[in-house]
Amino acid sequence: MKILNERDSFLSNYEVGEFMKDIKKKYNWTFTAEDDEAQANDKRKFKKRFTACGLELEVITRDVLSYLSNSASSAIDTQQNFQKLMEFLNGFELMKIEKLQIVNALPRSMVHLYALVEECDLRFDEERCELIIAKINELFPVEEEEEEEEQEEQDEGEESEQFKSAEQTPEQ
Amino acid sequence: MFILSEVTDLVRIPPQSFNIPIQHSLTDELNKKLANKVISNLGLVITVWDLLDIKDGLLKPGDGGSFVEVKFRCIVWKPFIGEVLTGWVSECSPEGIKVKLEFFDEIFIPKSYIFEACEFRPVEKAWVWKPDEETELFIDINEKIRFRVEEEIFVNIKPKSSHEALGLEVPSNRAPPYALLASCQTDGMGCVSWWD
Repeated sequence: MKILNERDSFLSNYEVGEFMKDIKKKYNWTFTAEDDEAQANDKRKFKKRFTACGLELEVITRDVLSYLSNSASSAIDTQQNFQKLMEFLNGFELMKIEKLQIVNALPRSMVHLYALVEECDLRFDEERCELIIAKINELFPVEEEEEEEEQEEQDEGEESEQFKSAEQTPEQ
Repeated sequence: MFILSEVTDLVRIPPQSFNIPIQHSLTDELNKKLANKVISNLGLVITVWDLLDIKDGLLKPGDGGSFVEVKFRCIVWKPFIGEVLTGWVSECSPEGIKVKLEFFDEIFIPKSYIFEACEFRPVEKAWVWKPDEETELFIDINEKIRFRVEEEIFVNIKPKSSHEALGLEVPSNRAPPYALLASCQTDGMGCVSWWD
């Protein structure tokens, strides 16, 4: 084995995610209960799970997909929005690598953006930084939903506690 | 972050795969060999991205398979020095914090790379950051943490000895083939929830 070119090009998390999803679809793998259900409902295809590529590929596909779905870049839903963000970022004097990090991490707070962009406070004034964050929030609105989800989770937590206490009372 | 690397390799195609298109059998063989493996000084290979060039197959006397030299690109996970990543805290010890990603576990933040005003609490088994006198911010297990990659360590792994391969001997604590040292010292680093 010989490595010809260590870094031919960079890939964004979004691209990798799309590629891994294609692989998963191609091999008919299911990683969650929802996947199983979706496949059970899908009557068109023959449901053969190919394994000629070995187990390791299935493991890494599952893990990378779960990593990407937990990461911020999972908010990118369509290629158009991705493109819009890139075109917008091209208007700034950012290094390629910094743009890539922004696309991968989608910073929604000033501190996060400052962490990604070197000497951000010297190169850009506050207004321009806020422009980037505003654009991200405009293209990929997520925060409100997240809060709702947290709220729901808390509600559920309370419910289950109530359940427990309700279950415990008859025993006592 | 993920990168594409260009690699050539000699692949043996077993005779039973001669009936399927060579692109498919090559991709399968390469995935079997490389997926989820660390290439020393390169990174963690995820999967084959595309095939660039397939040379004519060669035959070896006494072997039914054909040996094909193939040039391909593969997705490699290799964060660069200074990249900011988020992961989950898997272990806190007096020496530092262990962080894992879903597909990669060997990330370590040594104590010298954590905030200066940070201390380890043996009772709670957690690191505590005191940005000022009154506030105490805990870094607990399973919290989402943001960190900066500082150093990558590749270790050449020897093949298993015959005893280990047979399961007679439990391999002693081997160093992982690929590990990352990370830091957590500047604004924006540490638990994600602190900064939102």
